[in-house]
Amino acid sequence: MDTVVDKGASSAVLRALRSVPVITWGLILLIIALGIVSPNSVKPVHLLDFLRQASPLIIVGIGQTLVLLIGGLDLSVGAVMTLSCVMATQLMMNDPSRAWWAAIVCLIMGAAVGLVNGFLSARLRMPAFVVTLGMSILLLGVTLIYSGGSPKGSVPANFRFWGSGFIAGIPASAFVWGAVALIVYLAIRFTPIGRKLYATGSNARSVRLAGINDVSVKMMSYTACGTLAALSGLVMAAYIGTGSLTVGDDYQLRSIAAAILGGASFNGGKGSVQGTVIASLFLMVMFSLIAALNMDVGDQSIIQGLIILLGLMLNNLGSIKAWLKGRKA
Amino acid sequence: MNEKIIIPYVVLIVVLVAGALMNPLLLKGTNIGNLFEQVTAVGIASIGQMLVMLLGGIDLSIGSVISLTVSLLSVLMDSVGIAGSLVIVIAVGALIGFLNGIGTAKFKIPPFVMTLGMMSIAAGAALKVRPIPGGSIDYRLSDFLNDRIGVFPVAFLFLIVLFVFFYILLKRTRFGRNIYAVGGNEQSAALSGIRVDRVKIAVYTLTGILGALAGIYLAARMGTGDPNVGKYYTMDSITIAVLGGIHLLGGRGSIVGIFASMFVLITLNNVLNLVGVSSFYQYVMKGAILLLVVALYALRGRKNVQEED
Repeated sequence: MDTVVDKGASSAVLRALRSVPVITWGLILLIIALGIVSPNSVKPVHLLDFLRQASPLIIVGIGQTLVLLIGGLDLSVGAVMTLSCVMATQLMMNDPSRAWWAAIVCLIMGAAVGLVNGFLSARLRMPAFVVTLGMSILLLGVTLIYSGGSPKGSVPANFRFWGSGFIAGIPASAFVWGAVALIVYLAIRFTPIGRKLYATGSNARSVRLAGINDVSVKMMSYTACGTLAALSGLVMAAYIGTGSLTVGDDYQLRSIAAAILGGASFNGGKGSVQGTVIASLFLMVMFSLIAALNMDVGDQSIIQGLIILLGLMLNNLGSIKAWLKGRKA
Repeated sequence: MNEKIIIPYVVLIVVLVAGALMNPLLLKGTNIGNLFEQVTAVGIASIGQMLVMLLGGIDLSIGSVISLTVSLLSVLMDSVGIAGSLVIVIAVGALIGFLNGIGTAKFKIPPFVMTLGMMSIAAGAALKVRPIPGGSIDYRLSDFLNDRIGVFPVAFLFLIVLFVFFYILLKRTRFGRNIYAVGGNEQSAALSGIRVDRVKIAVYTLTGILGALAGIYLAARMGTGDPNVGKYYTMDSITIAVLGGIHLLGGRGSIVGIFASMFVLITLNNVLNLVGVSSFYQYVMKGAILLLVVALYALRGRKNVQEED
């Protein structure tokens, strides 16, 4: 039915509306719902705080989207985040002069993990979910050994700013994810990288025939994902101020939920930066709503799982229709 | 017998010999009994993981099913009694597996995402019924399952029975052959008249039940409830299945290999404990084993066509 093309101004509006990620309407509805349940939470200052809360999720979600685009999956992002957060505090030890090189070391660690994930899954053609699952348990061990089971140190004030400071009334961490989103969006939109990513995810074989090295495209997107996961861990460290062994735990699933709700699919070739950004905000508002309704982490986990499955089913309506038809026949 | 079955046994012997040289306590009677206890829950879960992997699927929710089972038992046992609560948790496990099967077979959701979503749901449910560790498991259940016949815990004998049952199911029944056929090539299985969807749903349901059985034993062994207890069983069961020669793309592998590979993983853990290595290294070891074994298969799979046993 979407193929019907009307003429005139109304169709231009419709087209513009259609180009907005579907989840945007969900976000608006959720904010209204939150306003009804807890009017205080929708004051501008609290809405701005969502931009901060969503920061780690948006950054790692964009990484996950890049991997889903090429038909992959990264279950190790949470473990990378945790290691990055712990490394940041232990390397900085509250010394402002160390902040930047420590941050760079963390990003290099993330890139290296991503590169290995990419090599194993794209070059050796090992299933992505096993590779990244194995990697995540391995990194958990590395994090525990490195921190001795209890992370030490803290981050200096100049670094903390990027987690909890404000620039012109807007949370500084919003500028971090804003920059990431903008760079990735522009790279996808205006450079050949974008075309290669979408093409590789849609049909790796024809891409190969067209002379694009799909293996290197895939390795590149895993590397980008690992780097962004490490950056996300840094933002976490900058916000909490100390190391924690559990910061990344929720983000393995959440990053996937954000990407899927933003329109990504497990078959590759679908998904967008703007979709993931809005879906991340959607998830954070939803968790606030859950909290406002006095529900607990158990509910949060259940709803998160349901959202992933519902999102997938909606992305995959055709097979559901076929099934229902088959039932009647 | 093919090499994929022999390799896990060779590895097991190497691990046992090397471990015994590092610490002779490894092969002492009491420690052997411990090994049998430690292997039981993860062994049951691994049979379930193997079944879905033979289909070319995966079950990332099995750890959460174990957590949910343990949590439910610790809450229900006082009011519903042993038999009633066991029936309930097995039904819950079956339901979760059934839904995994419907999602993958009917809605065509890739198994790793379907079960990942289910992992989150079941883990959340476990936290709902038992937010913090506590409660108690009827001591009669614990005493019965932990009782020893010689060096064998009763529960371990159940595990043997399960192995024999599923060996026969896989090798001697039409259903078993259908599992291999669907895992080997879904299209041709469908063309030869196998109801592919039904096989899938049945297998995922069985895996859910096996998850519940693993949880029942774990609850009895711990004597108390804990909503996070199953966390690492998903990973361990996948590692064991892969190490036991079950092919990740389905259709190939034997339960005989699993019997050895579950002891390999548990013995390695045990050896690391006995020689006093921090448990932190176990995570690195498990991750490395999984990546290494899958990488080896991936490299070999490139050059040779696989044999059937």
